[in-house]
Amino acid sequence: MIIPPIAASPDSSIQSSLSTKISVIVFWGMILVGMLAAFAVLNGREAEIKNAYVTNGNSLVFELSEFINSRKNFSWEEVEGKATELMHQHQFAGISLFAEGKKLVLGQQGGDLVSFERTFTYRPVNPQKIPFSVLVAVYHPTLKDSLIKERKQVLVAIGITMLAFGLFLHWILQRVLTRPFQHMVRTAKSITHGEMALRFEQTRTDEFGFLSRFINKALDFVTLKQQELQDALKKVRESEASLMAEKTRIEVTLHSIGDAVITTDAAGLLQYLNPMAEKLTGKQLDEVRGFPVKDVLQLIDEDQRRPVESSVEACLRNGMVVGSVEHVLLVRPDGSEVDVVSTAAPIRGKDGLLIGVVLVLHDVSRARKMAKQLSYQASHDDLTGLFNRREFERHLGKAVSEAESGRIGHSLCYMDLDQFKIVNDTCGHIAGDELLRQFAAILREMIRDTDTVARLGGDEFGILFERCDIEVAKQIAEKLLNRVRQFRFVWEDFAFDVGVSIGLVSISSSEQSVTDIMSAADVACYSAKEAGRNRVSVYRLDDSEPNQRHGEMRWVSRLGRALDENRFCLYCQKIAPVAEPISGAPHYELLIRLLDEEGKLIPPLAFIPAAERYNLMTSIDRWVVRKAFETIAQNASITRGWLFSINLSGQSLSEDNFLKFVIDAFDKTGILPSQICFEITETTAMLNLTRATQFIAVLKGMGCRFSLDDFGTGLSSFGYLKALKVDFLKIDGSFVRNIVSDSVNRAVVEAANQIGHAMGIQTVAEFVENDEILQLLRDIGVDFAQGYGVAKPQPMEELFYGINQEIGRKSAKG
Amino acid sequence: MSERIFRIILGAILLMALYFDLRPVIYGFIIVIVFEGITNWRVPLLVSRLQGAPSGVNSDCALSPGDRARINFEAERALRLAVAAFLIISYVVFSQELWFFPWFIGFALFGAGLSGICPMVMGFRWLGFR
Repeated sequence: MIIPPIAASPDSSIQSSLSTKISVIVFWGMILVGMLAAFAVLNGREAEIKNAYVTNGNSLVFELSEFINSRKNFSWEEVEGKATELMHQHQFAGISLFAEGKKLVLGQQGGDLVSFERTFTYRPVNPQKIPFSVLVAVYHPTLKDSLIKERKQVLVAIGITMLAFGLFLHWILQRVLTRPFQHMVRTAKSITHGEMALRFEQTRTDEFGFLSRFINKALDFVTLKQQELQDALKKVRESEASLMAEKTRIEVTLHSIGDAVITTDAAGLLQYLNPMAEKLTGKQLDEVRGFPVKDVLQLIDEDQRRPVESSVEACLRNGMVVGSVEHVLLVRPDGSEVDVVSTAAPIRGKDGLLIGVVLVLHDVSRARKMAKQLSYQASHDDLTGLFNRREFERHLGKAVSEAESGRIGHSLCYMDLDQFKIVNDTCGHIAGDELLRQFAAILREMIRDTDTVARLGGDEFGILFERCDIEVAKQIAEKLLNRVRQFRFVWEDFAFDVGVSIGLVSISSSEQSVTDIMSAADVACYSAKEAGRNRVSVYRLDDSEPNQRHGEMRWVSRLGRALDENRFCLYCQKIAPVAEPISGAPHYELLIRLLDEEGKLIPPLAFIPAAERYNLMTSIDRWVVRKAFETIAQNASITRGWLFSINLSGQSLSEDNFLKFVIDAFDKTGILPSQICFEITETTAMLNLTRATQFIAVLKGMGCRFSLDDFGTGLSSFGYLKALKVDFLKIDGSFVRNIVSDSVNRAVVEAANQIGHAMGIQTVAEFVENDEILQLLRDIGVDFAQGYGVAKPQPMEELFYGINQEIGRKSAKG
Repeated sequence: MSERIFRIILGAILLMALYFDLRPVIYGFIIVIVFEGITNWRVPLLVSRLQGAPSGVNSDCALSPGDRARINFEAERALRLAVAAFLIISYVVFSQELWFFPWFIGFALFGAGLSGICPMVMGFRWLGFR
């Protein structure tokens, strides 16, 4: 324990101190007591003095007379001794005796002294002696002087005694009371000034010691508690700082986030809006603080336009996280509406009681707009704005479901623009797109409000006539057809008469599926095309042609399986020079065959139409190219200088990656491009003129050669022929087959041959079935012939096998 | 010199003068303290100034810290005048009747000096003197 030094002077702030009070009490008590004591003492002493004034003289004379009379003889020596003794005994200043003429004087006489005289008679014991008188005079101060002297002595004595006693008492009190008390006061002051390590002196065994120990214990306790308090305060401050940082972070977060955050108290009264909430609601926090949240947030249902309960109310009621229903609009004060999604979560206190709700509003206007846009895009055709195939099929499915009940009948119209590819190829895609847009506009104006119109594919459209039987639908379709006939598409310098082939099918049977109905409509449309285009064809179950189309559809799955199982094979048919059929470098056309599930050979005419119609030709062409190149490469030793013609479909030409595929196949197999001649039909080339021109240009650049197949059957255009830069012109077999008996066909063949030669193109006649035809072709000047009359098709492997065998035999002989 | 010491000296002189019946001394005493009281040329102040000490002399008789002077007159001066008045009355005028009062004043001054507490000065300060 540290004992602080005692300051020399008492604390100035404690002027009416205990020391002062003690001093006042002690000294002035002493003075007063002394004064009282002095009065009391003086009172008695004055009475004694006054009494002594009266009695002391007589007493002295009497005692002196008794002494003298007791002596046998009067002796002045003895009298002097006794008189001196009595003078001092009775405090007289002086004494004088006069007897027998003789005088004895002792002490002081005269001055301020007064005398008392008395006479007695001396009677000697011896009777013979004569008695004589003795005059005694005693001298003493006046009564006043005695009293004053007594007063002074008493006052001084009592005063000094009281002062000494007071000083002693003051010293005692200082020691036992004031000093320890002041020491405690100084210690307390030092502690007050921050010296918390100081303690009161507790070595004393009196009350101060007890108080010191008590206070020290209290101080220890206070210090401990203060330390604890400081620790707690430190923790509180740290916690406060942490909370402040957290609060700042949360506030910054709340200010920064893109969602509107609103908090309420347990009564649903609004407490806080973050800036986004202010922006979203259009109200400032100061305006709406304390207002019910339902008054601040006006939420309505997007479809029904009715007020929607706020998530806050549901959350307050249920005490759980509540998300809002979809399609809720927040109506702002200016009347504008915002698509929002809200989530309300309860805020609970430590005791788990609900103390408020935090509501998060997310502005989903953009998302919902995008969703709507996506939904629109997902269900509509970008080009025409009509429904797309998926949406149309959804509507159709709905209609089919309604039709299953048997009460309502609908009709489906399937349309295909007849001249679309020509417009597209002639004037470009932009023109084609414009044609589709104008045609879509015609469709919109021709249908009823209840009908659904959609673009199903490139140039294919569909109309669902709801609650409309097939006859009425046919009338509408006829009107549409007439309207389209009147329509003339004009693009720059070109004008096109646009036709449309329409297939109609009734939706009334519960057994129909959407696929069946679409397929039936497609078949009917195809029938209309086959029947000469630009007409309406109604699908009926007993129609043979549509059934044939249905058969084609079944081919789709069979062809898919055949491709997967690699059940195709290649045949080759020789194309021989007409002049010397057995001479020249071998030239073969590769022909595809299909092996059915039972291994039976199926000719191409059975599946090619289906493959063309259902977009399988590209896969088949790829298979042919891959297989042909591999086989040629495998027999490279014998095929050097040979030429193989491979037929390509229009779909392959249209496909972006087919050219790359062919080039890659050349790279992989290593065969020479000059060994390959690609055959493109006249119609295919014309419908894909741009692509075909590019395809031919690239591959001819590599060394490949090209044939224009079926020349004379399509929309022959010499301008196109000039542009295509082909090497061979294959005159369609339909002209060649009857060339002997039909002069027109012969003229066509001669014309085709002359055109080809005029353009530097070698000609090939197909379907040369006998020598007579061959001879006639020789006369005409056709360059090459192909047909049963020249050579029958044979499997490619068999051809190579035979040649290899022959080579082997020759080698063996050689 | 402090007022406290001065009071001891005053008390001692008065008591000695009374004891030895030194009337001229008592009259001189009265004159001196009257002069001090009137002029405020108090001996402790003068001695302190001569010694070069600060002019303020602590009387050690202040009251509580909250007290404020309301009368522009020093309590020490008032004390001197009061003592002079008491001495004149008790020693000069009514010496027979109030013979004890000069002694009381002497002992009071001496005691006040010894204790450092002067109840009369405290009383004057309580009344509002400086």
